Amino acid sequence: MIREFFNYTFIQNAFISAFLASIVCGIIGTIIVEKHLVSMSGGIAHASFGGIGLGYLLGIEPIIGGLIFSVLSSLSISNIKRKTNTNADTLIGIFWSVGMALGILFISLTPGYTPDMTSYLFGDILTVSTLHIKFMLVLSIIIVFFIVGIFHYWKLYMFDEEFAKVLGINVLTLERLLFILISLSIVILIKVVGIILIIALLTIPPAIAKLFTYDLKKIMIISSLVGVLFSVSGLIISCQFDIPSGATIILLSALGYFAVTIANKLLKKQIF
Amino acid sequence: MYDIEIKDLSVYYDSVSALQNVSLNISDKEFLGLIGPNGGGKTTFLKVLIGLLEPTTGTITINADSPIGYVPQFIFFDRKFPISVMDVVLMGKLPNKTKWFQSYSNKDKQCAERVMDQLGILDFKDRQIGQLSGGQLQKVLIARALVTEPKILILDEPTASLDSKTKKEIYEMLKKLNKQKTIIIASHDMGDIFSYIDSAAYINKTLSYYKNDTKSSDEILCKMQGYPYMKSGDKDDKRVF
Ligand SMILES: Nc1ncnc2c1ncn2[C@@H]1O[C@H](COP(=O)(O)OP(=O)(O)OP(=O)(O)O)[C@@H](O)[C@H]1O
Ligand SMILES: [Mg+2]
Repeated sequence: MIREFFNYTFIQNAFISAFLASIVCGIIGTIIVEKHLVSMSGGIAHASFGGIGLGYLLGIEPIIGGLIFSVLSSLSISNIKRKTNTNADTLIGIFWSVGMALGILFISLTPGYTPDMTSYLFGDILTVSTLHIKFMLVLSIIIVFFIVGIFHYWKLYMFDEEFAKVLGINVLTLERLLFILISLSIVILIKVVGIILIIALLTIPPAIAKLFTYDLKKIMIISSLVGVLFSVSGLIISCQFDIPSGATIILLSALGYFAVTIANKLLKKQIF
Repeated sequence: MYDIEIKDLSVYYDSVSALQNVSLNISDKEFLGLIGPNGGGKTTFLKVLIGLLEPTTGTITINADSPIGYVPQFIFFDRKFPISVMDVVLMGKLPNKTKWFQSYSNKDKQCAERVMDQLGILDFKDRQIGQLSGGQLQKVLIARALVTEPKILILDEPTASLDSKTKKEIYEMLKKLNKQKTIIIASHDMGDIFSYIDSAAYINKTLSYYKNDTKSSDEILCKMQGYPYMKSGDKDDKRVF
């Protein structure tokens, strides 16, 4: 029966995208948490909604619109912050809501039926198309290539920007590249868990991984594995009970986090 | 030929003036001590030399091929960051021209271990960076600056959190390194550094430069009236010179 189940293309696609999303989450999520870019990522995610709306209005693929908006907004936040000394938090807040507002406006202007946006807001992994999978695969490869390729530079940049500058390393280029990579990851994740739920998927796996190691590379690997575990089992559960996949994955992750944290505390108490 | 040539340097933070019309030439293998009150501009001066700050006016010429080694006064990094002591020290070995898919060579690792051994922190090499005392962390930063194999080494109050025995060890080590390197050190430990430095610069917005001989050290001491750190070192200085 399970075999038949997997014969459906949309089920295969769902599992492939859950897998890819988890790898990306493990790597980028770890960086976001360690570089304190969690709210920044939330802002980028919500800003992308403006692009999705614009996609509908102009009749292009909404995800492409989302990609453009998230890349532009992340680079703008970093530029404006540097040029005007405005607090990054303030700017993130502005981009966050303006992105959502634009999205809603564009969709209301779209002629004909008002499209259903819940799959972008809360994710719908069962509607991921084969084209979308290819798109996700390309983005994932780009992300992994850039992170693995200059891993030591990322580590230095994340840990101590000032020292990176002293060594003559171009910190600004690294920052821009990272913001682009975060934007790409967010676009990958939108279909899986949705704009509103993305942050949990980016932050929970690294939080769990950090309980077991303080090696950055291992945190990324463990986070990816934890992500695969939660998203695949969340997907199975949601199919079984016919409940929304994105929400199931997030709730399962949160449950997992609390369980592991408590278990970890209890174990430590026993040892000492 | 001078290692560092500074001409008419002024630095402002927005409208706050931190340095005014500073000119100074620093020779090859000079051991220069920077002294002056809190807020006098020592850190600002060192940061412009390294290139972390842009001069508002004036020029700085650095005649060295390798990057400058730098030990900062304050750390801004997150001490909970998942990184080991060894990895922090090894960072000094990263080339500034990006090399793809590169790992640290055994030679790099041996160099890092040698420097850590000299500083007495080799035992902690696998610890997470937050699991060190303030003084141990300070030594890690010194080690990281040294593995860059700099021609010019700049230290901003590197001994502020070290005990007196360790302080002396560090100064002795710097004196040895001074045979090949130009060293600039900012310090409030006047009494301690005077026996090691070739010259002193007193910085309080402006800079006054003194060769380290008996007469001028007295002159500096005069300038430092009311400067609390002086009192302890006062007698020692007179004996040393
Ligand atoms: N980021 C900054 N923004 C504005 N003003 C600053 C900044 N950093 C330093 N200043 C000002 O510049 C002046 C010089 O500061 P600096 O840190 O260079 O002094 P310092 O000699 O290193 O002092 P300390 O002995 O306390 O380390 C001070 O008046 C200080 O208030
Ligand atoms: Mg200072």
